[in-house]
This record gives sequence, structure tokens and C-alpha cells, in this order.
Amino acid sequence: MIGKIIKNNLVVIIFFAAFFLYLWLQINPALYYQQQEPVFLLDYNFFSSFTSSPGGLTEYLSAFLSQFFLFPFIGSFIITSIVLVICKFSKTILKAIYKNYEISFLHLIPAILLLSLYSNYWFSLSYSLGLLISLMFVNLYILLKRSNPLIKLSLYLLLGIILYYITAGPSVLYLFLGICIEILSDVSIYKKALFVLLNIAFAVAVPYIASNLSQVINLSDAYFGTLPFNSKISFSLTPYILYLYLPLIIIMFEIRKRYFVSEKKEVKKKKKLSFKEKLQKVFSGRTKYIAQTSVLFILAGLAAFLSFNEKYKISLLIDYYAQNEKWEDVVKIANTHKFISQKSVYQTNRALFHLGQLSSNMFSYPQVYGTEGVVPSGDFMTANTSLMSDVFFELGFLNPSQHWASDALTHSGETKHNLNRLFLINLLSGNKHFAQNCLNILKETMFSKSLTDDYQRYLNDSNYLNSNDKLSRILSCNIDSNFVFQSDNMIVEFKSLLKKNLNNKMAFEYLMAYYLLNCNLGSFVNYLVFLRNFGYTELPRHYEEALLIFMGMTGIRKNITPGFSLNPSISQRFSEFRNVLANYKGDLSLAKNELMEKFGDTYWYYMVYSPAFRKTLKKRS
Amino acid sequence: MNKRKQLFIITGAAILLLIVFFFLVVPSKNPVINDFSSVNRPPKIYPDYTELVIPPNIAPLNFFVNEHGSRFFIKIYGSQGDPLEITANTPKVEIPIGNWKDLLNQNRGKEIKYDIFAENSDGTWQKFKSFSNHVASEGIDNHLAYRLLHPAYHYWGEVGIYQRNLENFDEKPILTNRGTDHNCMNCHSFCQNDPNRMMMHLRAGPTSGTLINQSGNIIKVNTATAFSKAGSYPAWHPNGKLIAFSVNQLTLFFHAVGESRDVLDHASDLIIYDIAKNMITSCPEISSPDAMETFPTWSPDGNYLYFCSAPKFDSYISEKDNKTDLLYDQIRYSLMRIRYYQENGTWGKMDTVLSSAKTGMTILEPRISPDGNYLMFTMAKYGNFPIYLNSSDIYILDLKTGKYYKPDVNSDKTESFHSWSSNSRWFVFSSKRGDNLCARPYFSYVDKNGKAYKPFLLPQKDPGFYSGFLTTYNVPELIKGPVTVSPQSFVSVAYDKEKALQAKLDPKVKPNQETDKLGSAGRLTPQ
Repeated sequence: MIGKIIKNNLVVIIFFAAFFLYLWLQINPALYYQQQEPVFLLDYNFFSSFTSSPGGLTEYLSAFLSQFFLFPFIGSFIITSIVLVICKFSKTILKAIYKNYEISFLHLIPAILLLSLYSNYWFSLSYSLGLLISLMFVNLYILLKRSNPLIKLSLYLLLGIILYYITAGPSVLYLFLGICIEILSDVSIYKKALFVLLNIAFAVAVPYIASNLSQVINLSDAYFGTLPFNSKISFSLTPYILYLYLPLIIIMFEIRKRYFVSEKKEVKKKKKLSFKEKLQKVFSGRTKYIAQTSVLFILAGLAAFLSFNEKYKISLLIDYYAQNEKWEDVVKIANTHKFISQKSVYQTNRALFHLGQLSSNMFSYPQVYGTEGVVPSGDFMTANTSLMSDVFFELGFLNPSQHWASDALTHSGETKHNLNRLFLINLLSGNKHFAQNCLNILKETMFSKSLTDDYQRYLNDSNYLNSNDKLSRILSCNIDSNFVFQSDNMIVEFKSLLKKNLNNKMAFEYLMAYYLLNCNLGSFVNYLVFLRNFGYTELPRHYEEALLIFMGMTGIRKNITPGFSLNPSISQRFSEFRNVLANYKGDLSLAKNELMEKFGDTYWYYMVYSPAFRKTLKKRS
Repeated sequence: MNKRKQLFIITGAAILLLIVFFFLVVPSKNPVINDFSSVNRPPKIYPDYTELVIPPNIAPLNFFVNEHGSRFFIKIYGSQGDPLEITANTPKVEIPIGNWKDLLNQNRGKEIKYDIFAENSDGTWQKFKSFSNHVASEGIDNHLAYRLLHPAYHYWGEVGIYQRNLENFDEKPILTNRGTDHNCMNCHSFCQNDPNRMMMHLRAGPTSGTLINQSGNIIKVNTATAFSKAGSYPAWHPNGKLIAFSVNQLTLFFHAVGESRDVLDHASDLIIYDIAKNMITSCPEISSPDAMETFPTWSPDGNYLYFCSAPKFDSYISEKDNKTDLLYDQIRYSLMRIRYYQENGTWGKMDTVLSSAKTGMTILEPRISPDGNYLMFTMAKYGNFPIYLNSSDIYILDLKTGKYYKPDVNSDKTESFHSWSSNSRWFVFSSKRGDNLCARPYFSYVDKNGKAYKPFLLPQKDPGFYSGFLTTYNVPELIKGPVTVSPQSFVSVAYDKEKALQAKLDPKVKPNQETDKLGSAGRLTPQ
């Protein structure tokens, strides 16, 4: 029995297995979670907030299921199952209308469209859930087909209202298909016209009434809520095709039925086939089957290939690893992927600091954004509020961290990350009431039990808090005397942090990174005396590289970093660097390729090609 | 299936339903507690609803008993009416609204008492010392309008102006920004607590403007003219025909320690909008170029316009010893007033009501009680944005004696925006005493001598509501009934470009050369 099912559905099984693997291994649902940060609370008030507007229940179910995206395998399974059921429902609808027609793989086309849509990390699960529920209701309606016309119509409208309440916008598909089914039935033209008019009136009136009753949704959301083309993110034409697909197939079948081959003729033909013709048919059927299967897989492959954005995935992956403090993975990505965005540079620098490599390795990565790649400002800040909160938190500067975490809360809602960050900030800044409030919400989130138990202990027991090295360090670094914070002058802020705690290694390394990136070697050298505070056993490579330049420029020969000896191999390399430059008679553009090849990972290379250094040279000349 | 079998199944299902109904709906009997030990202190409850003066029309003051116990028994009673008895298997106490209303109505002007018992794990009971609330004779205006938003820094996100029925727990939106393209909305204001005469600003996007509702007739107006940019903090004249606005240029800046946010007002003025004439007017006294005027409010008789005024600085940045400082903490506002002649719309003499030099603090947000006896205001160490200032507290000025005092309603956290009930016996104010970040509405009774009583938090059906609510209540305004205009009506006017009005400038008022300096009023300009 199972063997027969597998044999009959082999292509479908392979197709969905591939679909699942694509989602699991290529897309990675954990990154949907990273991008969308769906909020879900195990709390009645949270549920009831979804019941006051149409489409709310679909959103609620979507928020619930999206929590499982944290586990890529389960997330992929959920999406694949939803898409599989959508295809199954599409098939039963087509079969119900065209009993004698060969559906072949037409019902799998929505899966290809959804495959393309799921390649976009903004595509919400609610969109496919809305579609699935609407198709389910169409199937329910089909089951009513044999009942009394008046009862059937009443039930149709009742189902329509329920469906509208559950899904909002996607219920339009129910009306669309309802019209198709009735038009193709045997009822009189008068009844058909009446049914169409009734559907149009329903489609116009119900959302309008709902928007007036609900008071919390606008007219546009009442008509198009939970439809993918109502999203702020454009998914191009694919969602339209997805929704128009079944009606279009029905129209296509009708054209074929009326103008090409009638069903009866097809049946007749079947009866008249000779043995030879039968053999031919089997052969042509198999060819057709292979061709259809090939087209199906080629289309799916093309959809995946054309819609998948590798760069976007990498960018999300970096954020995902950084948020989970998997710093080695962040650096691994930076090593293997050549493209550079401000966010990836920022996260790489953060990761390098946490791995203890910022002062010795940061120039191994292209620092094309200068200081903006360390602590960004301007548009980056406002677009990446959560990331800004992270860096200030790590620096031990709680007020700006609170500022950006609050903006993140306003921007993306009560996500786990936002609540987590706000809890920790307020725990450390002594605002325990607000911390407890954040924790109360966190306790209502899924898969947070051990974390929230730990957090409650931090709140209740200061000794337990002190046993956490990271939190104790941040606490010891937080500023305690007031001044006006200037995000556009981070050097002043780093100095303030160091004034509070001369052991704030991150503030020190970020300050030094700022000086190096700005080619301000005089200030850089002044701060070298503090190296001993941070447990360095040897001079970090980039510091030594910068020091050699400084000594070269100023003519100072004595060691100005007492307790640290200069590494002969770095001095040797510096001589080589100078020789290469001398070979090109100081022409930087001519020397660029060779210097890049041999010294691309050094501060020297960064400095001679940095705009700040060129400006200095210009001034001098 | 034969008929007998069907009947059997239906009867079985009906019995099952009845059993379920019995267990779910029929309340369990209250325990008879004859034997208990006494605890010589009142119980700890949250919110603190002990020893209050409460309005006779307030919703049940549901609370948590913060004491150990496997079961709790609560008896609320007065000298009149049936006592209210509640048995709770958890510390959460939800008082039945019908019985509560009866009890309060029957005990107007009298005390109601609370006896709270907690059952120990061994089955014995302990009774805490009783506490009481005094039910005032005078009711409170039955609705509260407020804005809800997350604590704002640079962004506003989801914002809505809501109304809450204070006699129960119903909350409805007046307008949310889901309907207006997620723009910002603020400064909702009512004329003499009248829900039928209200206004609010919509900021940014296609719906920008000031919406004014007069008994269902809604207009949208742009109050920016050649004299000034659009109005900000509003005050309705009691005649309902004029609205005074401040016009401010606000800059948001941040502190390294404590409350991070703060606001600097670079330049501000006052303007008067005549609704019927659709005209903006002003006069040199109330829009002096040498001073910054803000927070207008009218006396209940309409003869005076009160406002706050501070000297304008040439620069707000000082550079000393290679250090740049923002002079935010040197700006202090005094309370002023100017005579207004309603019969011909002219202005009289301006005088200082309370000087910041005298108080040593900045005086903000004046509001006069409808009976004209008291002026409530906030005072803080400096500045113009009390909601961000921990030092901000509520003060009352006795307009008959000219003496001001600090009522016993303040905390060590921010107390800010306040609004009088139309009968002058109640006021509501914003306080951050709960978690130092989110403002919550607190109510207090004021007797005829101006004494304010212990404030209480806006009651919720779920007493644990605030412990998981990270949204702030902004600008609480008491109103005498619900705003009946639907959100959709506001939305349709907000989007109607053809009907949007452009305010005219009074020909007697000269256009301001420095209009550009008065930046987008009411909007915080991030820096």
C-alpha cells in the first residue's frame, strides 16, 4: 500500500524533499527569524490583541509557527508542509471542477512560486497561511455542492465571513474561485449573474464594514491585510501570479474544453483506441511525463536560482552569528566572502575585538568605511538601532545602549532580542522595575525558560550577578557622571569611558582603532602608555606597525613603549614596504598592486591609501 | 443509527455540558472563617489602593495581594449595602463590577473597608489589618483620553490616541496611526473637558495638519503662516472659538547618565487660531522676539491667557577651555499672564504670575481648575520638557492668595502632564514612579481647600497589566464622555486634500522674518 503510494507520487515526493532540503540547507529558516523577529507571547492578552481585526488569527498562527524557525530543520518542515497542503488543496479544487482532465503537475506550480517567494527573507509565513486557509475553505465549499441551493448559498456566505475574519485579504481567492465554480455549474444564467453580483457586493462590503467595526485597522488593511502585495517589501509580480494562478488555470481549461477538445470526445477517443494506438499512447504518455517532470524541476531550479540573494543571506548570517556571539563564525564569513558592506565591516570589527584580534588583525580586512566601520553614525545608526545598542552595551555605555534599544523596541516591537537587551541594560543601570517588566514579557516567549530563570536570579541576587564576568565588566565600565552625549564625536565618548574605568579594554581598543583609522598617530602614541592596563604581553601587530610609521615620521628612535620590545620581523617587513615604495619612487598608484599583494593586511597599506593620510600629505605639500 | 441511540447520545452530551457549566460558571462558596490569626499590619497590595479617596464612579480597583497564601478571601464593605466577598485561589483579585458599583454608590461620602485573609499551607487563616478607602461624593469625568506609544527616542512606531471609560475597563481608539500611514500624532486637547470639541496634530506624511472636531464637524487645518510655522501645544479658549498654540523649535539631545533624553527649545512663540475665521493672530507681547513663550492656557472665564516664558539666549552652546557645552540647564521659564478682552479680541497688560527667579526652578504646563481657584503646574530644575526630567513635580498655585505649594502626590521620579476634572475635584497626572521609563496615569482628589490626596493608578481589569506593558501613557486628559466621532471619520478628513484648510494670517500681524528659525513645531528634531 505505502509502496504503491510512493510509486504513484514519486515525483511529488522528490519535489518536496528537494523543496525541504533547499529551505533547510540553502535558505535556513533561522534567518527568517533573524530578519522578521516575529513576536509571540504565551499570554491571553497577546492572543486577544489579534482577535480585534480581520486577519489577526492568521497573523497569530503565523507568529506562533515562526517561533520554530529558530530550529532550521523544524522550520523547513513547517514551511514545506504548508506548501504541500496548498498544492494538495489546489489539486482537489481542480479535480472537483474537471473530473476527467489530467491535472499532471499543474497543482505544483504554486509550490514553485512559493519557493521563489520564500527565497526572500522578508516573506512572512502569514502570507502562505492565508492562502492555505482560503483554499481550505474553497474545498469546504466544494463539499457543500450537493446540498439545497439556498442552504448552500447561506453556508457559502457564512464561510466567507468566517474566512474573512480569519485571513482578511486572502479571502478574495475564495470569492474568485467560488465565482469560477458556480459559473461552470449547470445553474441558470440568471442565478450565475446573481451569484457573481453577490460575490462582488460581499467583497466590497465586508471589509468596509469590518474596518468600521474594528476601529483599529484602516481601509487598505481591511481589504488587503495579510496579502503579500500589501507588504512594504515588494515581491514583484510573483504574489499576483500566485493568487491568480488557479483562476487562470480554470480559464485555460475552459478555453481548451470549449474550443479544442470536449470531454466527451476525449472519452469517445479512449474507447476507439486500437492496441497499437494504445502502445503509442503509453509511449507518448511516458515521454510527456518525463518532459513534464523535467519542466517542473527546471522551473523550480530557475525560481530558486533567480530569486535567491546570496549577499543578503550572508549579511543576515553575519548578524545572526553576531547576535548569538559566535564570533569565530563571523570572522570565518568575513574571510570567505569578498563583498563588503558597512554592516559586515562593523560586525567583523566587533568579532575581532571579542576574539582579541582587533589590534593585531583589523587591517587584514578592508576598512573601507574608516571609523564608520567601528561605531557607525548617521543613517546606519537609525537603520540598525539594535546593532547600535549592542555595541554601546559591550562598551559599557548603558545610556546610549538604552536609547538605541528603545528605538529598536519602537521600530521592531517586543522581540526577544529587544527585551533581552532592555532587561540587561536596566538590570545593570539599577532600574529593576523596568527590568522586571521586560523579564515578565520574556517569560511569556517560547523557548526562553532557562534564560529567564537565570535572569530572575540576576534580579533577585546581586552575588549571582557579580559571578557573571561579562555583566560585571560592563557594570564596572558604566559612566557615573553626567555630560551631554555626542554620538558624532566618539573619541570624546571613548575617553569618558576610559576615565571611568581604565580597564575598559573595548573602549581602549576602539579609541586606538579610531586614531589609526583617522591616521592620528600623535594621539595614538600618547595612549600607548595604557597598554599595560589591558594585559597585553606583546605589542599588538597593528600598534607596532603604526609605531614604526610614527617613529619614521618624527625621527624618534628610542622605544616609546616601555616594557614592550619591538618585533624584528615587523621592522624587517616595514623596511621591505619602504623599499617597494622607493622602487616606485613614492608613486602610490603605481605601487598599489604590489603593496596590496605583499602588505594588504598591514596598517601601512591602509594608511598610505587612506583619504585622511592623503589629506595630511596635501596639507604638508 | 437508530433513534433511541441518537437520543441517548444527545442526552449524554447535554448532561456533560451541564456538568461543565456547573464547574465553570457557578461560583464556589466563600469560606466561613471563624478562626484566624491577626497580622498587625495592612496587607501589601499592588497597585497600592490603600487609604485613598476614590471617585464613586471609578471602575473596580483590582489588585494583587503580595502576601504568601494558598487562597485569599477579601471582604469589601461599607456602612450601607451588601458586603462584597471574593475568594481567590491566586493573589489576583478581580472585583465584580456590578457589586462594586452598587457598593460605591451606596457609600458616597463614606468609607469602605477591606478585610483581607490569606490561607496558610496548613489550612489556617490569617487576617491582615483592615484598610479603607473614602468614597468621595463628587464623581470624576468618566473618560480619559491619552496617547499610547513606546518610550520615544528617535522613532514613534505605533502611536494611537485612545479613550478609556473610567467606569469600566473599555478602551477604544480615537485615532491610531495605522489609519494615517503610521505618522506621528500628538497634542490631543479638549475644550473644557468636552469630548465633542477636541483637536489633535498629525505630523509627517500626507495627513499632516491639525484636526479640529466640533460636534462631529471635523476640519483639518495647516496653522503655519508667514508669521510662524504650525502650532504645537494647544489651549482651547472656553468659548470654543479660539485655540492658542505655542510654536516651538525643539531639539532632542541625550545625557550620559540618568534619563537619557532631554529637549532644548531654541525659539518659541504663541499664536491664536480663530476657528470660524480660519485666521492666525498674535500680538507683540505674547510673541516677543526676546523671550520664548510656551504652554498656553486660558483662565476659565476666558479673560486671561497664561503661559510660560523664558529669556531667549543668543546661543545655546558655550565654548570654554576648549570644551563645548550645551546650556540646557540654564533655561528656566516663569509663569506669565496677559489680559484678553473677549468683546473686541484685543490684548491688555502682561504680568508675571510666578517668577522662576523666585522658585529657582522652571515652571511649565500650567492648567487652571475649572472653578478658577487653583493653577496646577509642573516645576523642574530646568528646561521645557518635564516628562524627561526626573526633577519634575506637580505644584499648585492658589490663585486667590498667590501662594504655591507642592501637594503630597509626588514621587522621586517624574511627575508631569496633568488635567483637571470638569468639577475641579479630581485631577489626573503622568507619573513614572512605577518603572522610571513609562508614564502611567494617576488620579488624585482635591478638596475645596486645595488639599490633594494620595494618588492612585488607573485601574485595569488585570491588576498585573502594567507589569508587562512597555508602552507609555502620554498626555492624559479627563473628558466628560466618550469621543463619538469614529476613527474613520478622522482618517477621511485627514486624507481629504480638497477640504484641508490653510490658515490665513491676520492682516494686522506682520510676517515674521525669522519664521524659518521656528522649526517644525512639536516635532522633536533628532541630533
